[in-house]
Amino acid sequence: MMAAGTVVAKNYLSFARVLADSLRLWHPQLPFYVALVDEPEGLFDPAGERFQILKLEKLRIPRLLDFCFRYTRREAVSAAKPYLISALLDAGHESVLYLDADMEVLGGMGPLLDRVGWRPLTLTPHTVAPGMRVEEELNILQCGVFNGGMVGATQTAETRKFLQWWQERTREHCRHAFGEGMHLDQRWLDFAPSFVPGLAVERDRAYNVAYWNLAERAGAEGWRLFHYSGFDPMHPEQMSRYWPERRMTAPPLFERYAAQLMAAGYRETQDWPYAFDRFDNGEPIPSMLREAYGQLARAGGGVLCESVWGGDAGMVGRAEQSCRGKGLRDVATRSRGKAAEAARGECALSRAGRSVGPAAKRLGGRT
Amino acid sequence: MCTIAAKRHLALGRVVCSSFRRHHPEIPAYLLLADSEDGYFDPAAEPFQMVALEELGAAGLDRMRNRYNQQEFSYALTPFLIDWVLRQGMERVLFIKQESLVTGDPTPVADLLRKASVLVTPHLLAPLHSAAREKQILQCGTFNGGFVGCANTPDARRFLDWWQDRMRAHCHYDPAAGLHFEQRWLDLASSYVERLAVARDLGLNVGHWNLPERAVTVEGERILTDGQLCRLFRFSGYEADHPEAATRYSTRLNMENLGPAAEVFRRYREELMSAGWEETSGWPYAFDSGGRKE
Repeated sequence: MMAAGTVVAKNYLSFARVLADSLRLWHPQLPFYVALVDEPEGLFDPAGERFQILKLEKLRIPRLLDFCFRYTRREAVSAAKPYLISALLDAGHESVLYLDADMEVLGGMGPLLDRVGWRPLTLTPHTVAPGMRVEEELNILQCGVFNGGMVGATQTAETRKFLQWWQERTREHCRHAFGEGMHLDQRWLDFAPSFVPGLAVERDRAYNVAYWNLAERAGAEGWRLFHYSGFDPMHPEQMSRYWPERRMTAPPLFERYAAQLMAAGYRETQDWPYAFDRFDNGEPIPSMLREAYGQLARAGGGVLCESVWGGDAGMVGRAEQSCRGKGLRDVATRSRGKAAEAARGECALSRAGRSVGPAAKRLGGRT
Repeated sequence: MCTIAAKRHLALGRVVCSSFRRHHPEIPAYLLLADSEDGYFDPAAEPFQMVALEELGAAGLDRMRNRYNQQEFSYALTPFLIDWVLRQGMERVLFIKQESLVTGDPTPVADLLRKASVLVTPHLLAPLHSAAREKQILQCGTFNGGFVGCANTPDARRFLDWWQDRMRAHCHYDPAAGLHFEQRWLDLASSYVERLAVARDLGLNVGHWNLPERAVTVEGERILTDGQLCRLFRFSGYEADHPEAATRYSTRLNMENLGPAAEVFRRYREELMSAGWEETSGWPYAFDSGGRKE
């Protein structure tokens, strides 16, 4: 049996609700799972949602505390995607349709679901015919040829091998950094034609309709899966924050979607905090420190471990203080030093069995 | 079959065309001279049919010539040449980049074009153990521009029209902007070509990006990669004047650590020398006064 799923932090819960409702309307038999890269923190009741919520530790991401410390919310949500697909295959589903939370099912997707069921991997390119301006095309090349908003995967050895590789890459290299040729989980998908002989490139213009391909997809009545990438219902005059110069060209659809989001609790959920934005003692993690930690870890910093969460409050304060009034390069250098210093000290504590902080407890002690 | 070279790379063009013709003397081999001949050589005596720039009949080549340096201009002409060959009435065409040696019959792969419009070859057919090297390939483009096939179909012509259009002004090296000469644009073949064939032959496009992972063995005249016939060996960035290095683009590989593949580089260098490398490499580029100001 097939399953569908998405990944969110709790500030995107209203998006997942709208997607779930639209999916149930057209495909009531299709089970839908939402992986939560976050924690409820008492702000909502997972059992009260209209879909099954998969806790982060169910995704079997290795060294989870390091993962959560290293990545920003957006990066972590992206990096978890292949893990969710694998987890659903592991759970016995024959195939999986992954959808980004900011999508809506507008019609029956039977033909797509059939194809997903037959092929090891199904991806949608951002566009299917030339016609974009060159600047837009270059942006696509920076972001990746395939849009990661829809991924179909079926239980085959070929699929598993690809997912295993994709997971390894998003585990360590899921960053937005055009200068390095990186764009979250998505840029890695450009290797799909290289690594997956059975790749299906879904060319039906009914699916994954979005601001970047609206021009080639006239005739809204044929659309079956819409992707409101970068849409902010508080600014409904703009289709996407990622492409602000592009004017709104499908107002009724977006207005209706905005209303659905509001009804699904957008105003409440959008401000919910991210559980992994703070040290265990509640102090916010400076983004520069996160970045520095990631660099260290990628460079093979074997000393880094879950106890960086341990909230050496002084570390944060010192890092921030030393950053004040200094250039960016200086900030990075100093943060890196502080992170390493703190990590070494904390890890030594951890090895001595004296420090399992709240973050580790929250995540079930998994590392 | 077709290739492109400036005069200073004529020896490379001779080697790739001669090595192709060893397998298929009956298939026309064209070399587009991305330069002007200026009496340096006699086209009638070459192992290829020379195509002069003017023969392409493409509008705007003058502007490209002025905009680009020699390398950019040569790469930018790729879709123009492929299109020209199809317009000569050919049903299928294989483009092979100049710095290549045809070591086995490539036409069985080209047969994919009986059912497809465009044929591309990935740099890799399996993941590497190095994310850093994979990232480099993402910046260059996942398909290798050294071996591209097209059939004369509307699908392919539409793709070629678009690719030519991009080549008029966007054939530069600027990875952060999503650009890597003509090659990065090829990634969009997955989007724009309805019938795209991805050649999965381990004997194609063997080069520094997939060495030493592809195991090269040399058995007399026969070269094998991962036990299969090696059809096309690529020498991207190889400099005959610095024969100890595999490529100027990376210091990772050299003749010491290449294993049996070093023998292929050695043979290639011999062929280049017999094809007049020492003479031709000193020939001037006719459009040097142009070129982009960096």
